[in-house]
Amino acid sequence: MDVNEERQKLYDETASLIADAAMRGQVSGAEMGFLLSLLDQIMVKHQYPEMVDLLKKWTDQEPDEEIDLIIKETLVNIDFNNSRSVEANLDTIKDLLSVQGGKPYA
Amino acid sequence: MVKARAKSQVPEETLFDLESEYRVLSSMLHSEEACIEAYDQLSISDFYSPHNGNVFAMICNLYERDLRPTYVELLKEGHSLGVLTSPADIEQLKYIALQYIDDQNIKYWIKRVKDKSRLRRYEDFLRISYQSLAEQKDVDVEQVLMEAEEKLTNLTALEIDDHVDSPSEMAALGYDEVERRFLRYKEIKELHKGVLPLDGLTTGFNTLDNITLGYKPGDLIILGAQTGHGKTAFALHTARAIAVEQQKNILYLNTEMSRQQIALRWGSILSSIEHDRIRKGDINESELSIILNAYSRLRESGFYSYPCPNLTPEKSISIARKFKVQHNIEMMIVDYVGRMEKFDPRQPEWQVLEQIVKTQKMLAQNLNIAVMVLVQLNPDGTLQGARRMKNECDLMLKLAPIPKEELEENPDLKNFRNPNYYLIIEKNRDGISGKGIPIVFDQQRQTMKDAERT
Repeated sequence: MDVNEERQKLYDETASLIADAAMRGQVSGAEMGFLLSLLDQIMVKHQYPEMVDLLKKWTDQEPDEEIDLIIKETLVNIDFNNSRSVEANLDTIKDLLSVQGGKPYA
Repeated sequence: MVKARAKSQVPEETLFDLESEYRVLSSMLHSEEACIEAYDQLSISDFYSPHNGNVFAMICNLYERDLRPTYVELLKEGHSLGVLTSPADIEQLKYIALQYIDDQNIKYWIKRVKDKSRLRRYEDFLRISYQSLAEQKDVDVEQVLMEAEEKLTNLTALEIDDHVDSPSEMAALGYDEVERRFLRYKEIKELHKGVLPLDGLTTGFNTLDNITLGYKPGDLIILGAQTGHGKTAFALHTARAIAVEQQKNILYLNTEMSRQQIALRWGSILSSIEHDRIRKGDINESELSIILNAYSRLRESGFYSYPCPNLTPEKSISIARKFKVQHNIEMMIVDYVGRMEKFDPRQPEWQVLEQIVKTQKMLAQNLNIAVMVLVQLNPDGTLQGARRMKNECDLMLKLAPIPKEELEENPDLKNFRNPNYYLIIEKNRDGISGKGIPIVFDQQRQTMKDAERT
C-alpha cells in the first residue's frame, strides 16, 4: 500500500469511526460535525493549520472544567465555511488558553 | 407465472453491476472531474441499488451547494437527513469510499452504469410487452407492433431527455414565440418609449444590442482581432456590461494573463483611470479611493475568473459544467482559443480551431448559455479557417482600427464623435450582417463604447 492509499484509508477509517461514535451516542451530533470537519480540514482542505497547534496546546494544559467547557462549545460552533467565523473563534480559544495557562499564547 | 419465467431467463449479472456503481460513487467523492462527469451523465434512476441512487443524490446535492463532496461531507449530510440509521449504513458508505479508481477511468465506469441501466429498461420493455401479449384476447397486431416500435426507438435512438416535436407542439411553440414578441413590441411602444428589451444578454453596445437583440442562450459568438487590438478589452467590456452592470453570472477563462493582470485591468476599467498609471502605482490618494470604490462594484458582480494557461477544449467543458451547476452562469468567455492546447499536436491549425469552435457551440447549446470565443486575426486581418468557423457560430464580430485615410475621407464617419475602431458584424444568424459599427476604444482606460452621433 503506498502512502496515498494509506492516507486515504486512514481518512476513511477515522471518518467512519467518528460517525459510528455518534450513532452509538458516544458523541453528540454537533461534536461529530466538528470532528468530521476538522478531519476534512487536516486531510483534504489543508486550511487552518494553527487550529491543530491550538488543540495540541489545549490537550497539553492542565484541565480546567469551566474553561474546557467554553473551549469545547466554541469549537463545536465553528462554521468552517466562514473563514471570518473560524478566525474569530480561534482568537477566542487563544485568549482562553492564555487565561488557562497564565500567559499569552504565542 | 409469465412474468417469473421472463425474468428468470435473464441472468442477474446481466442487468446490474454494483461494482461499477461503487466505483463511480467513490470517484465522485475523490475527484472533482469525476464528480462533474458523473453529475452530467447519470441520473438516480441509472443506479440499480436504491441505496446507491440515494448516495448519488446526496453527492449531487452537496455539489450543487458548492460543497466539495468528500466522504466526511457525505457522512454529515447523511446524518442530518437521517438516512444513517445504523452502524451498517456507515460501513456501507465506507465500503463505497474505498472503491477508489483513477479518475482517468471514470468515463469507462459511467458507461458501464449507463449501459446496465439501458439494459434494465430494455428488459422492462420485453417483460411488459410479453405480459401484455399474454393477457390480451383480441390482439390488434398493427397497434401492438407500433407501440413496441415506438418504445424500442426511445430506448435505442434517443436519450430520455431528448424530445421530438410533434406538428402540434411545433405549431404551439411557434404561436407562443410570435405572441411573446408581439406583446413585447407593444410593451416597448407603450411603456418603455422605444427602449429595446433584449432577447438575451446585453452586448454592452446599444447599436449591437439593436441589431442582435443581445447574446442569446445557446449562441456561439466569435470575436476576432489582431494582437494588441482589444481582444481582452472587448471580453472585459462584455463582462462589465453583463456581470457588473446587470449582475448576471458569467465565467471568464483566460489563457494568457495572470490573476493579478486581470484584477489590475478591472481597476482601470471600473475607475476610468489609465491602466499604465495603475500598473506603476502612479496615482494619488483620491484616485486610490476611486479605485477602491470601483473594486467594490466588482465584489458585488457576477464575474467569475479562471486563469488557465493549459486550457484544453475538454477542460473548458468541464469547468463550464461546474460553474453552470454551482453558479448558474449565463455566459462563458474564452480569451483566447489560439492559446488552447491541441487535441492532437499533428493537426493543422485550422483543423484545431474548427474542432474547438465546434466543441464550444455544442457546449453553448447543451448548457443553454452564450459562449464567446476570442480568436486572433492574421496581420492582414484575415482569419485562418474563417469559413468553417463562420458556419459554426451564430454571431461573428471583428474588431479593427479605422484606417486614418478612411477617418479623413469617409463622410459617414464625420457624423460620429471620435470613432477609432470598427466593430464589424461578419455574420449574424438572426439579422443583418456586413455592417461596421463605429466605436471608441480607449486603450489607456481599456474601455469601449458606441461612438456618439454628432
